[in-house]
Amino acid sequence: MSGNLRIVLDGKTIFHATESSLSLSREVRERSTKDTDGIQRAKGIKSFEASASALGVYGADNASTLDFEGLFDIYDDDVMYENVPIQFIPDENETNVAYEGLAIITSLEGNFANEEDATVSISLSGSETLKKISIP
Amino acid sequence: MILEAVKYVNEILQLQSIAALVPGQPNWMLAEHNTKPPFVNFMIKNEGRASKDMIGQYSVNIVVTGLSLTNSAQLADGIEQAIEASDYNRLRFRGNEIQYNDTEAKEASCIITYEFKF
Repeated sequence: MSGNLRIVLDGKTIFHATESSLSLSREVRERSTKDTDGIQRAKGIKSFEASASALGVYGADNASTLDFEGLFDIYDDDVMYENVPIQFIPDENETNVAYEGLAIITSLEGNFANEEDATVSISLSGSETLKKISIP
Repeated sequence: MILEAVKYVNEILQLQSIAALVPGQPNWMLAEHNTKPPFVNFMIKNEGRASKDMIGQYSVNIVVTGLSLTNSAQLADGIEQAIEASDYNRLRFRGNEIQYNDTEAKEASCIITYEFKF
């Protein structure tokens, strides 16, 4: 993957993203008894988290790209977006794979400093596991 | 995209409120030889990409040359206020600096620096 990785929520790219992050993790179960030789470890459940930062100054169309307003709508709508479809696309032009799953927006922050371009930060927590898919 | 950014700055510097202060066209880089003050030059620098959607990071120096140190400062203040009051809201003010252009002349320039994404 390269620095071009994009996060796509409900089919819409986070507009003017400056940073995207994906974190995959797996719990480890441990067992130690009088009959084990040291600690035995086994694979536990998998989970993922994601975050992104973006410029918040230039409006997106909220049809194919998302700005703060579009992100807020997803964050706020508990009926339509109980879980929002999320995709991680390594490179929009060259890739033939993507990673997709469902997630919940756990935080949406805006930073509006004087004489600076506004920035938006979003954090997401995955629901169930992330799947690798092929892009035709 | 630097040419588009140049057009954007040129458009701003032709605002009626600025033309009222400094008549004549703004000059990209250099004014004609022997141009009499007041006049405005500007220099743009593309400092790289600012987002994954290919928006560029630019800085621009607007050089306001006046008949004197005070005159160039007055014109620079007027231009700063005109930009602030306009609909061109991408420019982020980064300060200004005033200087004499020549050790033996009264003409002076005030350099206003802005950063913007375009």
